[in-house]
Amino acid sequence: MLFNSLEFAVFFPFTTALFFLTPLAWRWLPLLIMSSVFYMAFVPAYILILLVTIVVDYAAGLIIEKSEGRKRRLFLIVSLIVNISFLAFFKYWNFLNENVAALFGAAHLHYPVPLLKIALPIGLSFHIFQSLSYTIEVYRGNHKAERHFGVYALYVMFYPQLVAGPIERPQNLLPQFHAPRAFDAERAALGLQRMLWGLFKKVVIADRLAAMVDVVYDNPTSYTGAPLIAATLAFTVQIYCDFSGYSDMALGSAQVMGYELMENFSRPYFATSVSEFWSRWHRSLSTWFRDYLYIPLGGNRVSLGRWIRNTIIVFALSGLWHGASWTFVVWGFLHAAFLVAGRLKDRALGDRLVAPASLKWLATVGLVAFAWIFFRAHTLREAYYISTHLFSGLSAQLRSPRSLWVSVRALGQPDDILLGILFTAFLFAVEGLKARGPLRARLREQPLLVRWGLLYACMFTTILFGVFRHHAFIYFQF
Amino acid sequence: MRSSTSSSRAALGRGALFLGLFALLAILLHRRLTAGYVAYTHGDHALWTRIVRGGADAGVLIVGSSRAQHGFDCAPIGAATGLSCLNMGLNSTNPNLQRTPLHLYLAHNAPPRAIVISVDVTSFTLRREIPDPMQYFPFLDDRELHDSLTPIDPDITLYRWIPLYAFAKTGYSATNQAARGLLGQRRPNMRRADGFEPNDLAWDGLFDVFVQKNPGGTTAAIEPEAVQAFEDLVSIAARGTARLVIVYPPELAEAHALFLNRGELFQRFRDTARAHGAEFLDYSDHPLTRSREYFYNSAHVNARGADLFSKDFAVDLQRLLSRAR
Repeated sequence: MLFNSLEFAVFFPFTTALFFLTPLAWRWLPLLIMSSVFYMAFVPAYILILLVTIVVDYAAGLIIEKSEGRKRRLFLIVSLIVNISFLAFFKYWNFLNENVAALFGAAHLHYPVPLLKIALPIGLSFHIFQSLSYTIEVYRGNHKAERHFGVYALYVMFYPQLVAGPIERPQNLLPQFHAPRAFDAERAALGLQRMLWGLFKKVVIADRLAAMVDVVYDNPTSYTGAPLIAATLAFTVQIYCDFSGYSDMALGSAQVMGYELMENFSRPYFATSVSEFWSRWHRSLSTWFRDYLYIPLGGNRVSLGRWIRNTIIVFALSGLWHGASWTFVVWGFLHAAFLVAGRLKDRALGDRLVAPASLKWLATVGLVAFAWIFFRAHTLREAYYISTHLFSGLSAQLRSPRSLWVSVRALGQPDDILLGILFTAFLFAVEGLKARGPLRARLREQPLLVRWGLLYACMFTTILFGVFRHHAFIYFQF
Repeated sequence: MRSSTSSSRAALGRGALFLGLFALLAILLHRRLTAGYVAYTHGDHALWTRIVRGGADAGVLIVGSSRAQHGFDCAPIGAATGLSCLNMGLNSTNPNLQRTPLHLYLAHNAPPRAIVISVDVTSFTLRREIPDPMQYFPFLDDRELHDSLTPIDPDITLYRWIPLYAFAKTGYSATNQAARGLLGQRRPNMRRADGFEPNDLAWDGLFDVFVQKNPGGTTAAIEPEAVQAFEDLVSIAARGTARLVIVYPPELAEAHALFLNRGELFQRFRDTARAHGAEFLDYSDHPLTRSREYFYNSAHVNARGADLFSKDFAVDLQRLLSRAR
């Protein structure tokens, strides 16, 4: 079930009403049932995967807590193996198989292992990582094992963040399930406003830009120069609005019920370095890798050589987490390379060369957008073509506004292109205003007429200018 | 405790007022945009306005699918017969989507002197989706139209009852057209006022793809429900006019052998025509069917083909009408 569907427009108020009509101590139950309904709307049978991981990790948590020494470690490993096995089987088997087959083919050897024809369970990487964070935190003694099986199941299955995060930690979410809050109209209103803003970003901006991006990225070799740059910049905005829009709807729907989820984004395209970008982008994942991989590898308190190695490992795996394809791995490597280059530059030059903030911002957005080429392209060959033809023919296309418009016009209807630009500008204006403090708090200080007027404007703009063709969220595939 | 309860009640009251006002604004906006949407276009919606609101009162009414819409030029037909002509051909429709519009037309307009039903190899196949639901949406208050469409696509009910749903569903294009309509603009290059829409297109190659996919030919489906829909369509037409003509318009000769049950289809057309006292005119061997230059695919004549065919058909129709007098 997609957040931008009519089904969800029915599901959400029904589930919320059911939740608040249930006595406090039993609220986990309707939420768990409705979360199952939510997940089963995709591929019902795949709930069995969730069930297995829930049972294994619940039991592992209890055993780990009671055990010491090797037994404690053994059950952590059991939990890790079970969870990672599901990921390996559903997500990486075909990738591995294809690459081994290619190696056999290169050596003119027969390779008989067939590819699996199975659909990837939706949001698998998200709930597997959330499950892993639970057993690891229990193992580290940072969190007590959950005794209540239903509450633990809800920790994994909580529908707002089940299929695309934020990837929660037990310390934040589990205590909230044990202390459900009474209905609070003010909090619910804020949650609904956040959901509206998320929906706006998804259907008005992301899905409008998606059509233009698809035109170019589905057939990139037909283009050079401006259309490739325009489509890449459009994807840069699209993926942000798609994913942060989802996160807003997830956080908003949880907030209506009184739950506070992790913030996943903090105006990432306002970052002035790639390392700052990663402290603002998909924070629940980047902190996951930081806490469970980067720091155990030694973090940055190691020699430069080891730090470079650690950074490459973390970002290559982060790329692989996003998808079983070399394009994602290269995307991860690129970000690692940007970070390494940034650190080497700082070591070499120190404070001797300080670029203006605007230049640093431009360079950061340029690098991040360049890396998105590999994230979005279907194959490495296409990504290579795009990245090497960004400036081909550009001077001719830039000769006049008319020639530029003619070349960019390939992306879609003029109305769609202009609306895409207009709404993107609006998004960045709003994000810019956020720098001066939370917008919703400032909105609350306005007279009723202004507040309601703005909300109605946002609602009607979403309805009339949104693209309701139920494009799935990009991050669902991960 | 009491103050918390009362503040919650006040908040709920405010929420209800907010939603109520939103619903009211949505209804008002929906009405305004719908008016603009109907006003903007001279195409399918103008045709529907004439069907549903009356005043068309055509002497010759053409009914059918895109083959009618793009193949029957009302100008020569009107000139030859001395009657006003309206082409009610609806793109991507089969008889199960043509019978209600015809019924509506006859309920709201004076009976035509002649009704021409254009048929093709898919006349006994059900259409299971509604092409371009927006063409119907401003007229869904008509219960008959609404009820005939909902079994095919239940979503049609939402178009009617949820304000702005239709505009949201079409992703801005309908809103854009409605805004243009409200500003007094009109859509160019659409159907002529008499409903005929010539297609000045080059050969599109779809037929060649079809031949490649079906080298041994294919069988046109004959579904009982579709047979009944065709029967209904012909019955409605027969009741509504003095002269009913069933026409198989020109079809590229190369395509004839591809439909293995073509003989059965034509026998059904003849039998139905006979049962209802109608004429059956078969133009599938018309001279222009031997050349691709008059077609953009095997089933559809281009503007030139439509001109030549319509002139010949106009003469034949005039002959039939004279005989009836």
